[in-house]
Amino acid sequence: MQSPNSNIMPTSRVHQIPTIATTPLVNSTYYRQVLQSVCEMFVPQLADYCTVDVPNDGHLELLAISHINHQKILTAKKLHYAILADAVARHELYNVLKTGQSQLYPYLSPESLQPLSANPKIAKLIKLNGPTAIMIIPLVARRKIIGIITLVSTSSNRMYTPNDLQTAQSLADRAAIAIDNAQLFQKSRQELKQRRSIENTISQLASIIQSTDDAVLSYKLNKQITSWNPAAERLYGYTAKEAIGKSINLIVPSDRHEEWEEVHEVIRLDQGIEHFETIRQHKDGHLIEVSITYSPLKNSAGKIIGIAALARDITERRKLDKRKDDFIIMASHELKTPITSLKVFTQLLQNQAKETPHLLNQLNKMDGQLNRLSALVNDLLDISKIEAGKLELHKENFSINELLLDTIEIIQGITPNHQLIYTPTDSIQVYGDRDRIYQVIINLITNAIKYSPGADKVEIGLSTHDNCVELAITDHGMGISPEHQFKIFERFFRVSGSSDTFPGLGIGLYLSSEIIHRHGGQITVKSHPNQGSTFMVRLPTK
Amino acid sequence: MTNTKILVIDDDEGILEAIKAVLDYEGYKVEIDPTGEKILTQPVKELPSLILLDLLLSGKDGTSVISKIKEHEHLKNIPVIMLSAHPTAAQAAKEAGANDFLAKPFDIFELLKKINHHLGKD
Repeated sequence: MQSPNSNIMPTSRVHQIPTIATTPLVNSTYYRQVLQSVCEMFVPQLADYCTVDVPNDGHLELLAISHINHQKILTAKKLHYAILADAVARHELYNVLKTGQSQLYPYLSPESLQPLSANPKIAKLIKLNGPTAIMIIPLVARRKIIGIITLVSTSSNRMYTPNDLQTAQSLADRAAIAIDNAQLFQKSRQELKQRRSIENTISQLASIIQSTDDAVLSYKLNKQITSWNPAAERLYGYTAKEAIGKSINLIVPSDRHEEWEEVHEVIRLDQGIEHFETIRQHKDGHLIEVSITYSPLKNSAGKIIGIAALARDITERRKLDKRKDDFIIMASHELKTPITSLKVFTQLLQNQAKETPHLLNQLNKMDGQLNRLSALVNDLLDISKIEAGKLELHKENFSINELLLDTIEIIQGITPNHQLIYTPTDSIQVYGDRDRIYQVIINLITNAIKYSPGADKVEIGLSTHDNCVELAITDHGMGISPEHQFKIFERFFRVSGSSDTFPGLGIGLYLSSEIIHRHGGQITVKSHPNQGSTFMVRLPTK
Repeated sequence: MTNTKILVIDDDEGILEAIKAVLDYEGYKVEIDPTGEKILTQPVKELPSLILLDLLLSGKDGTSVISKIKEHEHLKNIPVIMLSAHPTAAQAAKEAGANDFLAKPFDIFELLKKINHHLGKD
């Protein structure tokens, strides 16, 4: 409310301006009830209606209202909300909040209300409510302004005197103490509730840890074991009593100490380690294959004081994995045997059909298909090796540009529609598995040809950048949409709908990417739909 | 035509027939042995000039056959080319004592080239 005229009689009660209280418990029913009782204390003795606003996040919020005439509560509320929403009209309320000084408007003439009436909505509501005198008083408790109370006189034609203000202020002071107490009470109740909920959570977590099948244990940075759940007892054979207080070396086999120290170093840097597969030792001496997830344990100040380890016995999983790998190896062996036989007979026939071009042509095609079948079986075998972590690299120093030239020559020999464009460079030595890199180059170039049926060329570039060599293969084909670019290196990924047009297992790029990553390199793609794609391989030269 | 005898040790009939067809076509005398046992008791004058041996025989490992051959007084100098469906088995074959290795499926020209090489014909 704007200061209308000289009627304003600010009254200072406090020498020092109190600060505004932090966000109160606006959602607490009990707190709201107390505010409501405060409001009712002033009506009808000191006001026809009374409101209490509390500061919440820098804004005043109306939390209680009382009116001599119940039917008029809504109209009074509307006026109050309208004032709070109007930057000019609410000025007086906020001023009391800021200064902690009461405002007295002993008599409001229609002229004095003129400035407020600039807002037609407020003007209309003023008419409906008919305020004749107003007192705005801060509610101060423990040097904090916890709210403001507005007392309004309406049709009763009551005028407010400085005496009225004094009475109202002393009542407000007591009310403030009651409100403050209500807040304190409510806060401690909430704290208690929170503490109970924390205690509940802790006890729930504890029972989860007690009943889980995963071994959960913790130890200090000096390796001393601090907790040990029943699953840990079962997995490692030591009871909690036997383990707690001992060093974690109890279960770390001697040849794994160095590895353990490395893990420890990582956790000290505040990093967790997930599914780390290693070996631990049972009380009776036998070794157990486990997968462990480590996380740092911190004190309330955020300092790392220990390590939590969650371990799972993976012996069974390993056995299953091995059975699966054995199966794939056996299956690919079984598949290759008839291919070998077919290929031998095909080549024998080719040899005998030298004089019959149309037969030779058909047999050549048959031989080509057998090569493809054989390559697919090899891919499957490679996948199972990667999955089992058994893809071995036989690294040597070799000239990548020579390998590239040889590969281009071979592919160009069987590619009628595309010209492979490559400008030979000086010899670049790379340390890696020649056969595997060859496999990647073949895969990328044949893909480039396969996915650009309408184009007539594929460009291949080789360049060196500090300590690494970059191979770029560019086609002018259909390209890859942005949402697919992230996925094409995933296992078994195929662009949907492409299976009819382009057969394959969808593992070529996955294999290529695994091979390049195992070399410490990178494989990336840049592509624009309908313009083409560039696949880039970066390989370290040493 | 030549009378050079080649022994093929493989337990897969399809492979045996195919290799026999190639070697027949090339004019070699071909003997087949699915288990690799026969050669150990063969009279010296009937011994082959070269052996093609599958790395994985049913029921046993081809490497056990080759170690017996390589330990045998009369057999140890016969060149052995091992065949395997595992492209990366070359290392294992060499370690077992094989003179050469060929991954299945193979190109017959590759096979013949290796045979000629070990027979000193190239």
